[in-house]
Amino acid sequence: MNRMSNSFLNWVTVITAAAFLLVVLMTVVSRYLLKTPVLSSIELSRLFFVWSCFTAAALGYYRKSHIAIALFINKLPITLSTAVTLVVHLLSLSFFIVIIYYSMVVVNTLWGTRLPILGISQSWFYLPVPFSFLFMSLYNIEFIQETYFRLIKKQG
Amino acid sequence: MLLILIIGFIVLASVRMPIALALGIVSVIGLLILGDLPLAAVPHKMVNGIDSYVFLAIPLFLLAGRLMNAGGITDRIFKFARSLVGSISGGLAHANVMASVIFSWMSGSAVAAVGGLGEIELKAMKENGFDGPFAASVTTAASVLGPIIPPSIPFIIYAAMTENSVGKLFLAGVVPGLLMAFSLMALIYFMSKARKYPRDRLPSFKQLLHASKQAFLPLLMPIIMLGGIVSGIFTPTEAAAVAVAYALLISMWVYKSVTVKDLPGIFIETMITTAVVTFIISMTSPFSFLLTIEETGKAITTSVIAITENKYLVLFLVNILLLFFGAIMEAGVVLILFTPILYPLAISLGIDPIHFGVVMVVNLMIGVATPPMGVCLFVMSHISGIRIEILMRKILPFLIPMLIILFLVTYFPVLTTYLPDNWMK
Repeated sequence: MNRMSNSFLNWVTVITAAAFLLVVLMTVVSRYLLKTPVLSSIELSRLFFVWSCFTAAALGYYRKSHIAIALFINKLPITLSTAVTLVVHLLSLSFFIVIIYYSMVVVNTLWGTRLPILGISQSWFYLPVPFSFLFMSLYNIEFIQETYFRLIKKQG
Repeated sequence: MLLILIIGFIVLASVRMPIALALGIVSVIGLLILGDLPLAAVPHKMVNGIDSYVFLAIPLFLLAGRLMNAGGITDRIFKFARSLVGSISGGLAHANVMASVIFSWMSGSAVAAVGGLGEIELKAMKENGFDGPFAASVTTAASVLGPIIPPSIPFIIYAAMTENSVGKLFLAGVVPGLLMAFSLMALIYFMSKARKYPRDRLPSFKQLLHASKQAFLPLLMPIIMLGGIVSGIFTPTEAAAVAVAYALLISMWVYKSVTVKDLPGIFIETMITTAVVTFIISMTSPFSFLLTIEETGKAITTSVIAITENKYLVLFLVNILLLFFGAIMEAGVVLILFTPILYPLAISLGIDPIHFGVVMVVNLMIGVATPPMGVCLFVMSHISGIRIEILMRKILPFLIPMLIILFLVTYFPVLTTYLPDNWMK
């Protein structure tokens, strides 16, 4: 399941990153070579960038790439540090659920508001939050399972 | 309330919770304590925190550097640097610094410099009679130059957070970066004389010409990029995109070392590296919102000004604070966390915002090579197989010239402001 979602997120990240690169390049080309500035390019490239950042943040969460300080927890006895890690994962999951809920509130509230140049709903900027946090929650559940079984094994 | 949030953040961060998530959780707690603000403010601020055209330059500069690295240009740059300065006493160590200076004009990250060039430089130095810890220390110290010489990811972050010009900050970093390189080379010269390290023979004109020809295409990239920014042809974000197009062109069609199949992987790695930074920026945004509501920045400014209005003394204290945190935490995190707090203080004391940005970044970059937590020390220890404790000891002499340059940059603002004031409007 997580392997499939990982592969899906990989592609969303690649496509959105390639999209904002192309949009910025097109801006330069159209301004200097075609002499016609593309007004929507800044809004569009920002939109792809925000999507790419949040999907990559979920991938980074899965790979445990996000910066964390391990110095103190490494000094604890293994069973205690595993238990603390379990608490950290549970706390993270609660945070993800809160953010998914309230980001959907933002998406619903702003659905009728249009972006000034692109003319699409402003919610498109906020949708990557529930989208990426949903994936983070899925990954987090896997981490909770792993940590729980590790803890049981240590105690057993 | 601020104290509760800070303690909460420290507790969560110290138990291996990702720093970005720890910031997000304390922001939610802060809003719950305040009670009269909706929690929807958190995701709203998270998006607003990174929704900036300037930030697009971060992945684009990283991508350009990564493509150049994958394109095998690091080897060409090192050979070119060796032909330029290899004949000075301690030749390869100078080539190491010079190659880092050249690579810095293409990459905005210290870790990219130490990771990309590091292996080539270490191997060459060891093969030529330099001891491993010395070679590793030179490489680590030289990696500090990456984010000071443009393009620079920390300057982009600072510029976006404080609404200053990225182009001006890029130019402001040139003199401090070059001064730091020269000071490292001076130290290497004296150490090499004392330890009788080898040097290359003076290259013939033909050899010099060959090395220059090999490095010509990569060397053109920073000229196009910075020339475009300074002359106003491109915005920094556009310059970064042009750099990517150029890097794609030479790595795929000229050197043929990158194929279309490699691109998705390169894009994903670049975006994850970017997301590590932008996720923290994103989560700092609701936290900064709380600090603004609580008027924390104003309170800190007022308290500091009540003690002293002497900006030189305040700059000294800022240096101590950032050197301390830079040595124990990741530089990007410190920059993102401290900019909203220290920037209003600097402005209220009449410190030039561009000068202050350079002071902050130079401080934090020294931190990446400073024990106990300097990230480049760990990367180098991993690459070289030299124990971290040894590297931490051997790097110490190299911190002295860096601290001298930090002092000069702090107290002689002209070193940072001359180029942006005279070259950019």
